[in-house]
Amino acid sequence: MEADNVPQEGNATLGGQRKAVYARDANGKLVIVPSRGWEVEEIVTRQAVDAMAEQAQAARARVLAGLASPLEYWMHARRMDVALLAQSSGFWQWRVRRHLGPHGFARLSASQLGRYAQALGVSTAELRKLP
Amino acid sequence: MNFDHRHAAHCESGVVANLLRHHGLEMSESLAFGLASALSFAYLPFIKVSGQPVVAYRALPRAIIRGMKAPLDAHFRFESFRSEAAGQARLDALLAEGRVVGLQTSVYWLPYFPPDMRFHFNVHNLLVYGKDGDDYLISDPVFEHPVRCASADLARARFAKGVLAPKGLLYYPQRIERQSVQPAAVRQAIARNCRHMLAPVPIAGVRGMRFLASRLERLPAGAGHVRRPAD
Repeated sequence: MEADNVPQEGNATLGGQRKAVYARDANGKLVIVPSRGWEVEEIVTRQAVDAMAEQAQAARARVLAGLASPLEYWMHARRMDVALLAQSSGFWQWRVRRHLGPHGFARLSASQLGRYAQALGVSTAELRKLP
Repeated sequence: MNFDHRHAAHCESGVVANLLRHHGLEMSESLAFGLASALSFAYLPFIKVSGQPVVAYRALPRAIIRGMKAPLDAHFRFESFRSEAAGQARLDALLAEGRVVGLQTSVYWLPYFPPDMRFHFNVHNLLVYGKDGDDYLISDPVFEHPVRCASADLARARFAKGVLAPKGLLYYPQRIERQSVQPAAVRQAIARNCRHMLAPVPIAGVRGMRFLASRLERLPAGAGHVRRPAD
């Protein structure tokens, strides 16, 4: 690729940062050209980000309907799944799944809530409710 | 400390090149990547990460750092830690000695990353070259300019859990015996890379690319192939 042809389409998911791309300069040497990104990249990243945001919104609806605990919302809001939340909090996966329901969540002790809060990077007060 | 930060396309190759340049070697990202024969390809349809089959296009984590051993006789020391406190104390001690230290971190917990890029990806590499108050001075090669990160955030990123958890891993060169790259080392690296890319298995190297391409061609048109990540 020639340096002039490096895409500068403004991939919004880069948040204004530029990424390094290798291209040929006028002398035929390979150099790094900062790029604002491709449209295709943006579509793909956005798909992944949107899928995670949808999961968080679905969890929020379930919490409001009384079908899930705020922990489920926070798990998705932090882009985690049960496996990662289990590893981060130190609970077994089957216990995490139980705590995702309102009844299991209600039975958590203060120190257990603290472990989840620490894993998710929120305070225990925030963890008890939706933001 | 004056640190010569250079923008790079990938984290590990960029970290290695910037770190070696700091130690007086003329090293570019592409040369580091090539010397380690790090170019590779593997399509692993039977391993799924968030519902997607794995496509690997580079060698395993740390392969580029280790790949400097043969061509440069460069010996790196790797240390990982059980506790955040121990990891941070060791990092501070090394910085106080005037060293530039490489770290393995999660991307998700680094606040300077754009929000849309913050996934739970645990094998990001960056260099720490100093500390200013509570902020670490960081040369993250995939960023154009050096960045800063508060100590609590960096500790969280270093001790993130999950697949390929970094466990606070830090690394630095202990000694580098050769100060220049010999042409023979480059030829050897290219030959090794050719061997990898021509491996006689259908899922790796050039054959792996053809295999994945044929799978892609057979996908249904439109959005029919979009799969949601598993809960």
